[in-house]
Amino acid sequence: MIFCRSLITVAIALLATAPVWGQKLRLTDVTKSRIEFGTKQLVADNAVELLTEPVVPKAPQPQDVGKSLLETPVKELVQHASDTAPADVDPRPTQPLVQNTVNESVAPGDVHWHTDPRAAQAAARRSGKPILLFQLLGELDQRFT
Amino acid sequence: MLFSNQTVADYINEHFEPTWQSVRPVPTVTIDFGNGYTIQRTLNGNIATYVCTAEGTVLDILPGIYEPDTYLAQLEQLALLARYAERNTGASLVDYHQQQTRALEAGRPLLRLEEFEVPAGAIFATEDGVRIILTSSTVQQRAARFERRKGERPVLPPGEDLAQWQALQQDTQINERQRRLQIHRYLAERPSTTPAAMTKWLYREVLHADLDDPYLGLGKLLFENDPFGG
Repeated sequence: MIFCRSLITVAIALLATAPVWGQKLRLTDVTKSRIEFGTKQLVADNAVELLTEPVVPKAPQPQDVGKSLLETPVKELVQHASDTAPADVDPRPTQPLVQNTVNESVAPGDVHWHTDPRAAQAAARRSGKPILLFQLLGELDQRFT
Repeated sequence: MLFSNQTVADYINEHFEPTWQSVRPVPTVTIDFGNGYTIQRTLNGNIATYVCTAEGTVLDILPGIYEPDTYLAQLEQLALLARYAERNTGASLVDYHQQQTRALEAGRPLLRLEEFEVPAGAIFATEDGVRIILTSSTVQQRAARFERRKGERPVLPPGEDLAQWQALQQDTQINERQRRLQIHRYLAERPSTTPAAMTKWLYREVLHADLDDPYLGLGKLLFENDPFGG
């Protein structure tokens, strides 16, 4: 009888303190801070390296020179040319700015032109008519006259 | 344009031995607007119509551009002038230019040569019964003025832009009043001159296109206000 009581008491104690076998283990709902803290710490420690671009050593690049370094030689060249040019040379372009374009031929009206003044003169001596000499800039048988 | 006018062309072919001569290349300018549009035109061109004897002596000159009716009327006068100079002595040509000079200086229009039939047996009879005289007015001119006062308007030739025609009219008037005065003064002093002897003077002094100037007198206009000029 006493043995039975002792046995029951032990059993009860075991049941009260022993893990519950066969039951699902329920995890304590820890706050996310406990989980994240470790991660945050890890990130914080490595923030500099992770948030900036990794420094990849670049191949040596030519330095970006200012445009003055490029323009200066040209300016000096022009200045030198200007200094050495004779003072009486007209700096304005000597060649026409507009290249001679194709000047299409047109009929010179309905007048029966002699080819040149001498031919007209010979004809005038024969016919007794006066000479009409038409002078112009350009050519009468071209579009731009 | 003038020589495409059939009436003008026909008159020239019938009454003259025509020839043309280029005094220098005409300057042209092309403007590129940068959007695919360009224009090209001549710059400071000008013309002159000489009437000469068969020996090459200058009788008279029509300077610049004329509207066709006035050009034709003046060509008729110059054809008559050739016959007038032929019938008379050389002094008559000097007298002709001097009288025209006096008329223009006085602000009057040019004198006209008129052809009259002279009956045989008359005091001033001629071999062919025709007399040409220089006169300031004629019965025909007075009648023409009367007709114009009745309300006739000059008719714009078909195909002509009004602004262009008005500019041509103005050019014609300048030619007849200012430029011909310079020419008559010059020819009154040099009655035996030839086109070769007076061309440079004509283009420089009358037509304002100096043939010896590489910029044809336009240098000041082109470069004076150019901020990038030399």
